[in-house]
Amino acid sequence: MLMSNLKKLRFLLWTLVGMVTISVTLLTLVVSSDEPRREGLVEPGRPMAEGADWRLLDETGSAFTPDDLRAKLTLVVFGFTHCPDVCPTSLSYVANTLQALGPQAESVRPLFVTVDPKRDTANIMAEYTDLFDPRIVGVTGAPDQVAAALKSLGVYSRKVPQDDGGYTMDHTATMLLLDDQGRPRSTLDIHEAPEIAAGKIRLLIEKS
Amino acid sequence: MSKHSVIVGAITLVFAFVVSVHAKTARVGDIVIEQAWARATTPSAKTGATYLVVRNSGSEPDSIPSLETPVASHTVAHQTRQEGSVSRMSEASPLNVPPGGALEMKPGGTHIMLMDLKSGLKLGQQFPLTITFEKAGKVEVPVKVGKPGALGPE
Ligand SMILES: [Cu+2]
Repeated sequence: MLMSNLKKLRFLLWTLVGMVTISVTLLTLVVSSDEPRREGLVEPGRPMAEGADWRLLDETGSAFTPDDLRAKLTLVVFGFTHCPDVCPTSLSYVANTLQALGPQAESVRPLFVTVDPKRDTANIMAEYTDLFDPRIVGVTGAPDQVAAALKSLGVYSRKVPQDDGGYTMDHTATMLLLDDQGRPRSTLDIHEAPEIAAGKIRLLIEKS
Repeated sequence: MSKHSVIVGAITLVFAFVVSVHAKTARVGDIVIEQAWARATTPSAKTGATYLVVRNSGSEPDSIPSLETPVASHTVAHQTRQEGSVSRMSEASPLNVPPGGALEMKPGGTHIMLMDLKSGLKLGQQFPLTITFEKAGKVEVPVKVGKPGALGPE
């Protein structure tokens, strides 16, 4: 009686050990596969917009070309000003990240590039981005130029007609961090605290 | 305790209840609407987003076939979906409120889209929103305007 109970207990304990081992292994795999994106930077690949030839306008009406992605670290968000749900969340996250960076925010250029150039003029982009932080620069341009820029930056966008005759835009909502060569090095995630985003940018400032 | 103080106490309680109901929630039949808020926009903005929580304490499902506000030409229920890195927004009418459950709106999910705003929404402003429920009927709720990137009511 006592022996069989001991056997049962031993079996139970070994099963438990086995389960814990499997769980820990799985957890380690999941965490380590996530790590480069969550905590640090990816190795530099090819510069975005390499060899591309588009000419956009920033919110002051000055030219913005692929060369402008190679002057400074860039934090770029894509969206449109008629977007009241997702884009304000992203832009206020960028604003909070700049706040968390303190004076180091000067080392990064935050951009908001429209996927809806027909409605988003330079003035509208300036007014919209200033709502969140005056340091965020709106970028728009002629529709064909914006289309070329989005293509070279790997951004998806599509016009979706609405019942009332208007339209909305489906679009890539990734927040991209580029180094001073225009190479993508990290993405920001609105589910993380802005301090985490600031940490990624600091890491990139140190490496540049 | 004197009769007088009991009456004063009772009046205070009723008053506190009425005030709190007015400040936070609106009620119609088995439906309670909580925390209606919107995000501030630029002065020239044509669209805005409003969020609220609807609770249904009844045993029947209800739904919201229409929404109206004087600040916008039309008002539509929308749903944002994130598919991989792409964000998509589509119509979500009619909104359903399950019995004994809630319809919770929040940024990045279900929202009330204000279209053709007559003027921008200013921080601190309040505007009325009329919600029509299929079964419970019509109710008007005050919507408080928060920060442009607010993630919840303030
Ligand atoms: Cu919407």
